Amino acid sequence: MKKAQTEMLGIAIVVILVSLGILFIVTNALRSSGQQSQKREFSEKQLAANILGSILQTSTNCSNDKISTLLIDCGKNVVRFCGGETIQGVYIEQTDVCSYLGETIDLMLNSTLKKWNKKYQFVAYVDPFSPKINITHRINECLGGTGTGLQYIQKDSYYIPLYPGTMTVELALCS
Amino acid sequence: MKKSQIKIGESIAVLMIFFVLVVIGIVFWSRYSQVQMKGQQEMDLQSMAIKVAQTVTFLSELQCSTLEVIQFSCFDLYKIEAMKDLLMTLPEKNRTSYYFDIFGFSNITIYSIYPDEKSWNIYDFPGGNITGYVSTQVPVSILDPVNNVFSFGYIDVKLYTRRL
Repeated sequence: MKKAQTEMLGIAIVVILVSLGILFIVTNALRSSGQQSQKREFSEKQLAANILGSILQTSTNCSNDKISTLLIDCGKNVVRFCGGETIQGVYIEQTDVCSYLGETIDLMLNSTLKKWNKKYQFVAYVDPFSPKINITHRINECLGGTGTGLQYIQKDSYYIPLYPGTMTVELALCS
Repeated sequence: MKKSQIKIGESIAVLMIFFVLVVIGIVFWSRYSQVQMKGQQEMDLQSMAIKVAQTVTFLSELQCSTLEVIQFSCFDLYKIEAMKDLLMTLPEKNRTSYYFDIFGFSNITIYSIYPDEKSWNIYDFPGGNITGYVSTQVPVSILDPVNNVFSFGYIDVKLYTRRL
């Protein structure tokens, strides 16, 4: 074997070793970040489901009715007025049931998701083009679609039958 | 300088470069491993905090139940107050002897947000050498079974990180 060939072989070995090292590091980093985001995604999906479930069964000061009951009235356009109370230092004026729900739910989300630095959107609608309640907090910074990663939206929905029609309640959030 | 001496010098230079590269590789690898280990440790702590939070959510000492039917994600107000009173009045040794296996070094507080703001610290055992904590929150409903009122709240589990 000539000297030049030996040197070429040496360089080739060095290049292969360096490439293997880089490949190993990149694979390791990708795998660990993938595991982390999967865990976070799971807990965020759980969070969306838990928070929505808890909100819907909360009793309000409006005749002690639950939020889910008030949502039915809101969806059916029932003429009903609630409010005229101070909660957490915030005065909620006497208003129609949909606006009252909007203010009450906003208060709840401000003390939880906003405090925990989550970006979210709470929507309640019969017709998706004209939602009855729409509360958002920096949701436009989240990415749409179904990709994996913390910046992607995790969503949970509840369906309340109105006979006729259905009230859809959705909570979307991301970190 | 003879040709053989030049060759020896060349070999030494090659070996030196090789060892410098090996040392740089080892330093880089150890730094990388350190960062990875720190990340893994944080992830494990986060998982532990979630595990503790999930355990609290399903604790029969706190869950709402009607005729032995358990309501998911709901705590009974009177059970919370009873557990708080019991755990906070017991001497620390007795307090931690049973629940330490489940909660470990943590602080568990239940917050009610709406309609009334209230909080109950049901468990706190920091141990010693605390360096910080990892926090996890789980939203829950709090039922006052006497007045049949559901409040909106959450459990806050702080898992203490400690210097070993």
